[in-house]
Amino acid sequence: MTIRSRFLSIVGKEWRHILRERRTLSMLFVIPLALVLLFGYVISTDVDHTPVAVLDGSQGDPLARRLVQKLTAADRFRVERTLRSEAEIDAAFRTGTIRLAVVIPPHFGSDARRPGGAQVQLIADASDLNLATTVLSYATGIIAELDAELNDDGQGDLRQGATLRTDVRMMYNPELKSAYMFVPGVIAMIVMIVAALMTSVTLAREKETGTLRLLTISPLKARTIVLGKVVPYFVLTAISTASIMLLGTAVFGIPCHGSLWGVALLCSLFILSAIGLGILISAMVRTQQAALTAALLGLFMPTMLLSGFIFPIANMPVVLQWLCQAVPATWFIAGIKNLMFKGVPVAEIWLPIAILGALATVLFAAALALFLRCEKPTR
Amino acid sequence: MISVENISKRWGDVVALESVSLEAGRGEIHGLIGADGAGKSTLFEILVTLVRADSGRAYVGGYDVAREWRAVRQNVGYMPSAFSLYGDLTVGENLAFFARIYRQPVKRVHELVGDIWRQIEPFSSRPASKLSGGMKQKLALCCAMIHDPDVLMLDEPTTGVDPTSRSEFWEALRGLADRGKSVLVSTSYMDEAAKCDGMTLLHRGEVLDSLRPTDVEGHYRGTLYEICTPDMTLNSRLLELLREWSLCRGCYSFGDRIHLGIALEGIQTETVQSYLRAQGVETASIGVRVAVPTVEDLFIQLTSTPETESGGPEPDLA
Amino acid sequence: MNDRNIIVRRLTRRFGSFTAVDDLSFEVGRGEVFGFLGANGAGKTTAIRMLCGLLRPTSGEAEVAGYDVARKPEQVKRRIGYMSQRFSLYADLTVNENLQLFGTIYGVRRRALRERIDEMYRKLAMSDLRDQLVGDLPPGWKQKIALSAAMLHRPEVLFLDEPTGGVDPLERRRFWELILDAAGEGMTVLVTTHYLDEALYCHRTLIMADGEMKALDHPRSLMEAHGARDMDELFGRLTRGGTEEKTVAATPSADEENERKEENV
Repeated sequence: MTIRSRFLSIVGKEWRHILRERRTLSMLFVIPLALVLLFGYVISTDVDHTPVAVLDGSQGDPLARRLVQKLTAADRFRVERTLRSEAEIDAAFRTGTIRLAVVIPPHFGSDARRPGGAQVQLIADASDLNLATTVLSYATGIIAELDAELNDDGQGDLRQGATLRTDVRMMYNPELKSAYMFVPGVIAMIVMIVAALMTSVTLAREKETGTLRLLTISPLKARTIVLGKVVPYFVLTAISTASIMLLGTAVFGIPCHGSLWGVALLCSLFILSAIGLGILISAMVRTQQAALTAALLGLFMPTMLLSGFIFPIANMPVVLQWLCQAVPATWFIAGIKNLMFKGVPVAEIWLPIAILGALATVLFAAALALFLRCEKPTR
Repeated sequence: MISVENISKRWGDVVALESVSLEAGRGEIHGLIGADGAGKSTLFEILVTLVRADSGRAYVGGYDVAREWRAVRQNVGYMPSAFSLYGDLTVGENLAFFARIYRQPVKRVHELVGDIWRQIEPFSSRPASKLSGGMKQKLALCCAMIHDPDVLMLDEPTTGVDPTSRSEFWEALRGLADRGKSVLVSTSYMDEAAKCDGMTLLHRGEVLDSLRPTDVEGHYRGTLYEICTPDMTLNSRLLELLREWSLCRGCYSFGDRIHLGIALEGIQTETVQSYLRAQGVETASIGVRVAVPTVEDLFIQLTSTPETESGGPEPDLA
Repeated sequence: MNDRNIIVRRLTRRFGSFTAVDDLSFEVGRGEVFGFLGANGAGKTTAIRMLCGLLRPTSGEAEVAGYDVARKPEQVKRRIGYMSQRFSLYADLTVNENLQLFGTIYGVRRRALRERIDEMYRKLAMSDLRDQLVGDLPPGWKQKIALSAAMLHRPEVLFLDEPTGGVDPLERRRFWELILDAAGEGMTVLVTTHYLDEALYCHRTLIMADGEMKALDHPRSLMEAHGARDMDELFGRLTRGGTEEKTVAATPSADEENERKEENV
């Protein structure tokens, strides 16, 4: 009872500190808002008049012409270029003029009449995965319609099933990194700012101003002081995280296919490990300035650069890839991506959950142990 | 109530305290007089159990600071040398916070330090950082007193505080001592020593002297003369001449006057006059009289005479 | 020839509705040590900021080293030295590096600077400290070096803002002897202090309360005139009367203003 009231007095005091710093507080909500809007609007979801390149291997087969007509009929696609060889596909994408390449094989018309049918290859630029997926789904839909028409008007011979098949290929983004990646990325940044950086600064402030000495010689336990001080930051980070997700969903229709509880669990573990890092930093520095520098260089930069948020991990040198494994945000982003965008069951992301859980436990234990050491008279 | 026996402490190679001892009884204000770097803050940190001494023993409120540190903490109120409250919280919130962590009703402040609290109560909704220096220290004192400790440890509570607020603060301390609290207070203002019941002069980690303010004259070796000149233009020349005098044991300016210490007993003021005359100084307008040495004169004497420069080697391993 | 280095006429500074300095007038001569006493928030700092050309007066005028502080602040700044206990030297630079830095900032030519620094080392007998980090020195030394640094460019007026805090009595005296020496050479020194006994080192002392001048004379004459036994009593008598409460009620805006100005310096 009394322990709880002491704990609550620390929590209450910390809330006051936070609420008094109006400028910081408003930044905490303005920054994620701005980032989400910024990243969100960069993604184009407009797929009307999508430029397409056609490589017609059948050299003017009637069915091929019908396919192209069908594609462009609904104003969704327009043929930007006609290619003569496969080698030109890459160049067409790189000049940025097309979003989709349609490769029609030789003997297209005759193949369609044979058992097994004919195969149309669709190649999309996956560097904007969101757009690529949309474009491909329209294109495959149109081809399926054509297939159905062919079967209806008897040109599909007597066989049941597809006459035309589509083969989909994504280029330029082997990991199929989602365009929605900015959401976990922004969350990771905000968690590092609020949970790690602000926690380390607020604890360092008690050291710097000497108030920690007064608390140390008071009946408060070191763990009460530290945990009481970090609770508000956990809540604050959780609110901020939730609002980023809501914003993403409400404004940009970003999906969450997986379990919400799984998302909450993953976020909580990530926030806890960030807070653990924050406490650890503050245990090792004496001033707010030092805590700020350490958190920015030691936590914030790696989260930005080594988590797969900005640079794909697969493209990094091996040493850096190892380093990425040590960044909590890497696991958070990997887990949340699978959970939210791919909708995998929570059980399948056990590895990120286990690693973040272990990180949070170890960091908290280490950080508390460091603070506990100062509880007794030192040296 | 406070008993310090041969406490030594090193920070790396730097000696912070060298075999420091002092005693302060119940209801007593004991001054720790010394400049920055004398080791005052380190002694406080040891006595409030934040830091462990390398050697020596200390008891606060009857408890050993090394072994019974929990009990010591219950019994001391501490004001660190820098303002150590929450500047962004209001006066009232600061007090309420400390009351809560010590599980005390906030109202108790009236009973414990009512006269001090009344002075800051009108500003209780003001952020602590917006208080004047003197007010901040009064608030810190209220917070340090909220759990009714027997012993108060105040590290330079009046530094940077203006003279009026300083004397108000000392009145408050006297009130607490009268109610049986023991107060250990450090200061670099020598004039505040006179307001203590006992004092320890600390210099570079060593005790120069421990005495009552009334004993200053007895502890001063030799006789102190005060020399008045009509205006200060003559002072620097007089200082030079007097310092060359074989009888001189310390000569320094004291405001617009000059203080001259002479080790020999039975010297007349006339002797000083005649020495100056012999040096070609027109002494008609120069007044020389025997002065009562202040703590400052004693401190200067103790820090400038060669034999106190090194306190002699002390075994520092317990 | 003008032998008055500071001329202040009806100097006033308001922050919003709060008057920090109210109708201040005085003059300080060459070679004079002029004390500035007052409680926290009495207006000392605001007055000094105006005299240093850092803060514009609301009304009235002041001339320092022959230049108007409001119209020619750059000329004023070039001719004054400033030292305070709070900010003086860079702790992570050596004594020599600090002196070189401050000398160069004030535009002392290289040869003159070398000579002056050498002379200072001789005078203070501290040549062996020249390569030590300032942060490692005892407070008394720091203060003496800070004072020397503030005088390297031979300013006409020297402002000392609580220069001796925390220094032991012997060092404080040595410090004052340096100040008096400098005054003896014609430098005007304006000094604030919380050690009331130090007022006695000054030729004249101005006592301020609530932004107003309460007294101005030699401290001993003031004590005599007010029948006070010592400076403590004199100060109490002149500044008493709810100073503290008024100050507290009114200072925030002033504090904020000062902080803002401080950032700009």
